Amino acid sequence: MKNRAPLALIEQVIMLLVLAVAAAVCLQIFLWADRQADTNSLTDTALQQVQNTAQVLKSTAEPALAAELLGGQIENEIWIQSLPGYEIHTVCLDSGNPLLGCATVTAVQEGKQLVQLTVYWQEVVP
Amino acid sequence: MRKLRSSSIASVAALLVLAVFSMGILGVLLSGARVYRGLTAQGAEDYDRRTCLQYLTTKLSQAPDPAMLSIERFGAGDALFIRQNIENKSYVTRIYCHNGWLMELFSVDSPGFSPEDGEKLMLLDSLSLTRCGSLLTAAVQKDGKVWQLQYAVGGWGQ
Repeated sequence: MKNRAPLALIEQVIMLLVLAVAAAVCLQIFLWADRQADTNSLTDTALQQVQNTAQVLKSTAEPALAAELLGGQIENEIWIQSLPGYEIHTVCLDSGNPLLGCATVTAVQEGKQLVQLTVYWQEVVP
Repeated sequence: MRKLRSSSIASVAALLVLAVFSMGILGVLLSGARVYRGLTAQGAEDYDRRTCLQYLTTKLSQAPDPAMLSIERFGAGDALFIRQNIENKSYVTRIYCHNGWLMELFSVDSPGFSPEDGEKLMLLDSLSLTRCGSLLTAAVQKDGKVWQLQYAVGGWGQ
């Protein structure tokens, strides 16, 4: 009677190899899903903060005053707020109308743009 | 005797391979479950935050007269009062947090209502409202996390 144990062992090793390949694919997908969820959550948070910044600009009509309220620093005419995982850059633009203030508020993560809003406000007549 | 030994070794080897296979399956299942649990929890938290803040933003932006928005005491805490005139009668929508719930109460603008009379919207630990010039700041707290909303109210002066 032939010994079938080596054959069974080979079958199990092949089964293990197939499992290893499937497990590698699954784990890769799990990691991607985890990273994607983190990115989505960060984008959501960044969007809310960008909206908050836009509202503060509309309320104060003065970026320097808005920077005092929300924090951050102004470098080369860009107001930068550093937050966990991302930054918010606010740049004042020329709307072409002296009574209309304009700025773009952008959430940036490692140089990549997450969200951008353009906000307009009524300038305070001196 | 030799045959018995080689047969035992083969059996042990087969069992070992089976054990490695089982551990591998278990490892993949457990990591999948962990990732799924994390995704679900994160999704639920994002949904709560987005819903709560968007609800407040929508209520503020849809107020018929922004000048009639105010923050007043209601029960044990502050509430956002949104007043409006309907057919020459004054009505008020109160948005507040009571007993772990975000609540809304729409009624005639008169005293005699209590926080329990409102409608429950969603679970929330606390809601704090502050005003700085024309800027309304609402800070909501749930499960130890604090989220902030800022809104420029057009009818409020500097």
